[in-house]
Amino acid sequence: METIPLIGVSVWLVAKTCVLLALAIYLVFALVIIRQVGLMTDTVDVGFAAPVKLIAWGHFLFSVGIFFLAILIL
Amino acid sequence: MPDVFVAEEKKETKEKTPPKTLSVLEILRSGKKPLIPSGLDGHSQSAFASFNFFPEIVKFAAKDPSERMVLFIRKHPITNLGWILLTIVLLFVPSLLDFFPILNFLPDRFQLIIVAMWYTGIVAYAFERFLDWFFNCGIVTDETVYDVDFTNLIYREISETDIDHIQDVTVRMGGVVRTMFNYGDVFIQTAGEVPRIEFEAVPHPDRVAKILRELGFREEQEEKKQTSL
Repeated sequence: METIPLIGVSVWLVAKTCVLLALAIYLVFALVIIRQVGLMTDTVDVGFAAPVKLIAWGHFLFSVGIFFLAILIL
Repeated sequence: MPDVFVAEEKKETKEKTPPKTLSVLEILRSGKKPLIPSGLDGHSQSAFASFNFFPEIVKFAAKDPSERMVLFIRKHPITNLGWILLTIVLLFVPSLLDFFPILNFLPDRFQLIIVAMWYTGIVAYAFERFLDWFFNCGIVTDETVYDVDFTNLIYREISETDIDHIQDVTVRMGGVVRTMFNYGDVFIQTAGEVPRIEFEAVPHPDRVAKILRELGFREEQEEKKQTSL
């Protein structure tokens, strides 16, 4: 296995940490989208609030899925 | 005895009634809760309508309950074409990895996660652009003009001005696409705190300007009535 000299840590462990960090930040972004959609539908309701909220939640759950998949397979 | 000749029955065809073009004043005259005739030109029950004259399905939180919503506008749907095409192109980028194996130095499990992240990012991009189009809108009531802008993820800006503060309405159209699809910008110069309200790339800009002028005229008449009393 490839290791970083001096510190003796696997390159792939560092890569995994970076990917997980990026996905964690993305999760926060997905949560912000849910909040944003809530704010928008509260302001202007055009009769399409439920599908828009559903997409926002679907996107968030998909992000959570990828995060846990990354923990498992990386 | 059988008939020798039977004339063909004339099929009664329902003539399509042309959309009714009533002015704002005519509709508002019908009382506190205006009666909206069926087939009113510009009136729609669709949530995706970019131009909705006397919308019934729209609820706006900042509106005063006594106000009557006259117009709901957002950017013309054709303005979404750019990001829709870009999204479609970006969706096919991972399939190019077969021809340009730039991720081959990574193990398969890393490649899988990166491709999944790519698709999630595209979904987020497309969704953000859709939200931007869907919720950035202009609302005209019989008393006020509102411009609702969601400039970034959690920032909301609602500019408003009273109809009687409107000083000038400018319509800007130009270019092949805008002329073909009949959309353009409407600039409202006001004497209020917000010096200018802009409705960008809205359908039927001339009609928007006409509606604003009619509402301004109505306000003037009401003011005159009040001062004469």
